[in-house]
Amino acid sequence: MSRRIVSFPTLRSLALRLTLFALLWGVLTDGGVDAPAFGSVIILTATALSLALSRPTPWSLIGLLRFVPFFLWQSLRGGLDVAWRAFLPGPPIAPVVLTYRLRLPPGRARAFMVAVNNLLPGTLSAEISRNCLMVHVLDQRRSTGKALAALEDRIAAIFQIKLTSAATAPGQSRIHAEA
Amino acid sequence: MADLISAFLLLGGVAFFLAGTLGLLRFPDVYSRLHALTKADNLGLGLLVAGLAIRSESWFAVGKLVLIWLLVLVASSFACHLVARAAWRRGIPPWT
Repeated sequence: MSRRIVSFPTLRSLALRLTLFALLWGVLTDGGVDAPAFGSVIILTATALSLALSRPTPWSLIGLLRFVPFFLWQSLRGGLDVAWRAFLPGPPIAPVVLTYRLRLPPGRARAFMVAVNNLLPGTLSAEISRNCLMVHVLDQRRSTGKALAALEDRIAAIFQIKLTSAATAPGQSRIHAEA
Repeated sequence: MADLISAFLLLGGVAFFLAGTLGLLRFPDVYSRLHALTKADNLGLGLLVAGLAIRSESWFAVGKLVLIWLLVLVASSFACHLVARAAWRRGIPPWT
């Protein structure tokens, strides 16, 4: 964790956020060449505010880069899946609410999981109670357990989290239909 | 060629927005309707952004378009969760 070495991760986040806000300012102002002094003040203020409001957390660039194509592909699948169901007579859906035991600890990683889950094919985060995520599934014939476990692994890789209860076999064993 | 790809992407985007709206009208309960809205609109907007990015005149415009897509994704996904959670806490049973 970042507590061990205080200065390096903070410096790294400072440099990273400075770059990101500079890029953002550039994008918003078509290069930011008209008012460089004003832009610099804005970029510095934004960086200072962001460091004050959101503490640096460890994260992995490789984990993030691996996540992007996965997310785009799953978005495509999720959109196609729900679109054909919306067009067909019926419509062909068989919803169920499942309880998934989360391995990710509370915090940013878990919030990220809740949000991304809504964009994956056929799943929707309804509620978190204790360490369980209530997932509304559009089609119960899908093996949602495996997909959720895989998503959790990918998010853990981004936030450099070691999932503790990995001994539990991923899949249906950790999924119980709501009574 | 670029115009053709762009037109294809834009029409695809429109089709997914149509699918999302159709799902909103046709699906039986609040949870299923949320599925249709978030996922179809995410993809629909993504395709629109891709189609417009091909036509855009500068990289700054492309950056702005991608930024819009990301911000809408974050907002719609969390809004979806909050609506579902509110329904769940009110005890609205899922259609089965």
